[in-house]
Amino acid sequence: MAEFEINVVEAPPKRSSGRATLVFLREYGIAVVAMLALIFLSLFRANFLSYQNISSLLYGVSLDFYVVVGFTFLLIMGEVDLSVGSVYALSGMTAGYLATQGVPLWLCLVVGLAIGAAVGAINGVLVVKLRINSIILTIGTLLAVRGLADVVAAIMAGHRYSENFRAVPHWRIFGVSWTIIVMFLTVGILEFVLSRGATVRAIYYIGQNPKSAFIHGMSVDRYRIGGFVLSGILAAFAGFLVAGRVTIPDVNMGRQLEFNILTAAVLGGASLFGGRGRVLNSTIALFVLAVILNGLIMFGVEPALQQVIVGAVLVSIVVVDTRINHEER
Amino acid sequence: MTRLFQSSRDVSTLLLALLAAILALTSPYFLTSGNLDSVQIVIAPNGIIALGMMVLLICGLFDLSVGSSMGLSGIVCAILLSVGVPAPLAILAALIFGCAFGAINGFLVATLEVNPLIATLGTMFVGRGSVETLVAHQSLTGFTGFPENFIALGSIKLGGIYLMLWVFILLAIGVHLGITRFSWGRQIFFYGSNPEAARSYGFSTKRVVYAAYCLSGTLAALAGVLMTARIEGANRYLGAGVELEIIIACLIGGASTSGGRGTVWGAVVGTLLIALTRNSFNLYELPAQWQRVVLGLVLIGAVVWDAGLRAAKRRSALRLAV
Amino acid sequence: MAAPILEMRGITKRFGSVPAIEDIAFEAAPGEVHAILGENGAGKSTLVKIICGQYAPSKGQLFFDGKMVETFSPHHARQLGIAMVQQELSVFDHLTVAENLFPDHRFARRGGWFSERRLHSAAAEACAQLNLEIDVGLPVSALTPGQKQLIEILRCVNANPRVLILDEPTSGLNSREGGALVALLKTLRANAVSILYISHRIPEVLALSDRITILRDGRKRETLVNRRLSEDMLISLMVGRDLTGLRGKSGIGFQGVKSPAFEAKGLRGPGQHHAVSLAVSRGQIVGVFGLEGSGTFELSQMLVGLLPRRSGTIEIEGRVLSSWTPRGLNELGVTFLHANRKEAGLYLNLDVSENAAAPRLSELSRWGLLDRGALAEIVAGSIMKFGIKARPRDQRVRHLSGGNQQKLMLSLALKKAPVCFVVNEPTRGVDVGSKAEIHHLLRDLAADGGSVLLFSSELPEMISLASIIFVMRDGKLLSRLEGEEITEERVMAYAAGARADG
Repeated sequence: MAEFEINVVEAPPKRSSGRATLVFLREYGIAVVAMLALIFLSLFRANFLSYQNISSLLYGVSLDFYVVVGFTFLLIMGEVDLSVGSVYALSGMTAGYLATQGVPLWLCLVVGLAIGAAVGAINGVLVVKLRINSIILTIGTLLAVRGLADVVAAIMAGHRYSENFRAVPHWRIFGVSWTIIVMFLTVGILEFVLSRGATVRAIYYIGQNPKSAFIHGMSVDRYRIGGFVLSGILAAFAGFLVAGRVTIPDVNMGRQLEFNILTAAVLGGASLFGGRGRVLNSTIALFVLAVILNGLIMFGVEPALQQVIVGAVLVSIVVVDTRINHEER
Repeated sequence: MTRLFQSSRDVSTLLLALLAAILALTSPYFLTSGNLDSVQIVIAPNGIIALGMMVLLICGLFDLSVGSSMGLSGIVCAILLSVGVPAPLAILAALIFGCAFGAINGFLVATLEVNPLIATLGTMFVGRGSVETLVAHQSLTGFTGFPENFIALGSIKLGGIYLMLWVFILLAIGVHLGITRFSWGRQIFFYGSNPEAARSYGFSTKRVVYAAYCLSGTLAALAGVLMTARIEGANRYLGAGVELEIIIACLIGGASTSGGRGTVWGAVVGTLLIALTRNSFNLYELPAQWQRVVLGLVLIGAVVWDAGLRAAKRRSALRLAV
Repeated sequence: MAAPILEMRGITKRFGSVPAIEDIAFEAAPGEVHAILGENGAGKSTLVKIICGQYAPSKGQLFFDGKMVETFSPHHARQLGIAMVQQELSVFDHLTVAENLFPDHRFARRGGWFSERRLHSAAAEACAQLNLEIDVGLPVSALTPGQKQLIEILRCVNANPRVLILDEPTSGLNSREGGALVALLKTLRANAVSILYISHRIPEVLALSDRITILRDGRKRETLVNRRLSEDMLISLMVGRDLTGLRGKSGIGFQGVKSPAFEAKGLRGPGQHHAVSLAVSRGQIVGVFGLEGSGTFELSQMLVGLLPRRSGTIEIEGRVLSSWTPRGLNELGVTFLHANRKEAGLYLNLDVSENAAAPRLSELSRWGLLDRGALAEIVAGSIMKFGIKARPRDQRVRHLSGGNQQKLMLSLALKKAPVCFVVNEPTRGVDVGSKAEIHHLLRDLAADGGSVLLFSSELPEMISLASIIFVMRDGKLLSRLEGEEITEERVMAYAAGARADG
């Protein structure tokens, strides 16, 4: 009977102006920020709009965007994987190490991706089967995998990656870096699949209400574990490309990447409470973040301040996200 | 399973005794005064922060920003000292700064109701960036050149034990008494065990959250000040990454991620166990990179254990409910 | 009798436009046990929630000690001396028995220092009132649910209330604990405490109370002095509506096979003592009825794999179910309607069209893409067939009325005609019009050769729809009533424990 009374209350259409503002901020905030940043920078810094600058920004994003894709998939299902930065470093360095040992490039890639998949599977199985908070658990894997990455870095100390490994991220198609082309293709395809694909849409339903999704016959656990595995694999692939770009093994590779990625994903409209998020918006947000950081450098702002700004952006966008979620309950 | 091993604290106590015994027996350096001194220097600041973290975990909260708060407060203290502020005032200012840092976390979590992990992840990032910004134009050693009376904080020994360890011991006793013997301290257990029910019994739950974060921030600041005095400088590495070690220490010391459980003794045992584990890496000259792997695995093990206990409880609750 | 402590005059409480209780007059005197009796949804909870300040009445007045109550908040009610034992356990699991008994720190001295010794001796004294032999230093998590419940009651008693409200206090207690509780209540009564006792265990109510107020459909039927009352009298006051014209015709329209379409054999959850078996044939609506806490909800959840089971099998048209999940059941033609649409069954932040796609993702897949044309057709069809009033594309389901949400949820569950439809509270919180439509729909389903297994806490609904009713009490299926045997009085008598196993 207790429930009876609660249920008689028919939800009155809530249309407070507060909510409207919040939702507007959430949906279009990224566009507004992007516009402002672009206009401001192109007005005040002549070299900002140069082909050189834009393409180098795009190139950076085209290497890292895989991570934000996996992250967005997980956020849509209401989970978080903070171990991506470490996986990125471990997979990239391991692949690079194997390449110096004369292992064929394709096998290096396969091993790197397998490492990502394995870490993702561990994360996924533990989070889903034991119902552990994914943030806490993936902090643990972040730490452990970072340690392993440091081990590989120590083995590699003083060596450079081999030529063929380093060449991969610099391949070009029609004078444009292949990674940029692949990024546009991937984002386009994923955007289409996520909005039109039938079974892929299940992730939104799972994020909105996992119990409803279970009743409606979706394999909730399998999708979630799959999301973690995918996130691991994509982080590993990005790591593979980035390691080749940096020439020598770097212990700081991918450190704090998870924060930038998390910030980009929520800035792009993915909610920490699940059920929301788009690959295209997350990628744009990653680009916008890169633009902002690039702009700061152009204005001679202390590089260390970048962290402060990313952190502040993260906190404020999460506050908005939380307010919206409260309004909706 | 006997009642004794219901808590991971008891397992950790046992492991701690075992590890200490093994180290004492197998390493000729373990019991040397040099080594014991260095262990003390690790335990004191970490232990002080762990006390605050334990209080938060009992409330069912988290603070990932303690390392940033520690580093930032240490640097604030160092800057004040370097412009000639007397040591007591500089220390007080650093502690107030830490408290304010905690209050911001409290504001985000209690008033804006942001997920505590994400909120403190953000403030950690902001804090860490601020540290980097403040030391950006300093040498690697950061701020140095402090008055004698300040440096003494880190080097004075009383009865063979560093002053900073005494501070930790006194604080541990104080926090223990506060949360077990005083009604205002007991509130955290009520809040952590069942926030809804605590609210309905008229506890001011927001005040509990604010108080816990302020305590945590202040203690982290104190640790930062002590470490600054100890190493006679404040640099970018002060407090970096310490938050995870502290959380691990508390979890293996018997705290639960779901709140309501935890003891000061557990925080102490956890801190000691982590300190000795790290010490054994040094004693046996194992590569430092593996420390992280071990710590990460320990954290995963602790949350899996925690989840296992909760699952067992769910099962028994289900069995009894029908 | 002494002047009442508590008096209600013309109290009405509406939620939206639906009145939960209407024009209630009620009083409670010091030193009496006043029982409140009624079916599920009769308004008992709303009544006591107004008394303890959780709801403010829409109309009418409440007097405490002759003074009109103007602020309605739990805090204010507590200050007046009104204490309520909650049905849901709200103990502090990790804290000791003693601390749970006195969460108000009354043993604290200045500065907050408290003496554990004094706390423990006071707690031990409190426990002695109920003959509870437990170590007050133990954490509550180590106790049985019955003991926890007693701790809850003691905590309220410790606050020295003037009005004590107990909502189903004996569910979960064994007979010894129940006896101790009764003894405690008698002591309190002697000390001029006014006790409001909500229960649907009629024998218990008769044994304990001084007066009995009976509610039905949100209105007061009667307040009786407990003298020479019989169980049958009370039951007929609780029920006894005019049900002519409501009687179901299920099973008549269909003349097919009579072998069971859905059969559960020896079903038992973890720790349950009684195995449950039941069967539904095509063309039938079979109901399972029980009062709150009888285990019907758990059974319905276990049937569809939302709660774990320890033993038992399910057969669907003779085929044994192997994968005990909604998906596995679905493949064999069993669908399910969840009891609480806010909790599961819908996606409140999505629109009707997106909701409609959810259970059909694989069917709507054409070369891996969602077939929007087919979806639009389905949505239009559902809106017509189920009479849903909504714009399919731009209105979030959250903003639909309860009736429309419920019909939408039905349309999701009934994406194709099921072999068996397990329905849980099909008309909870919907308006009268939608209710009739939903009933019509369920009857049609059975008439077209489907089978329906109905779980409902509303007795009239049960009786008007089901041709066979299983009555459940304390986790056990007590009796099977069929055809003419089904009367409100009889079902209620079994469910409320007035009759032994039938």
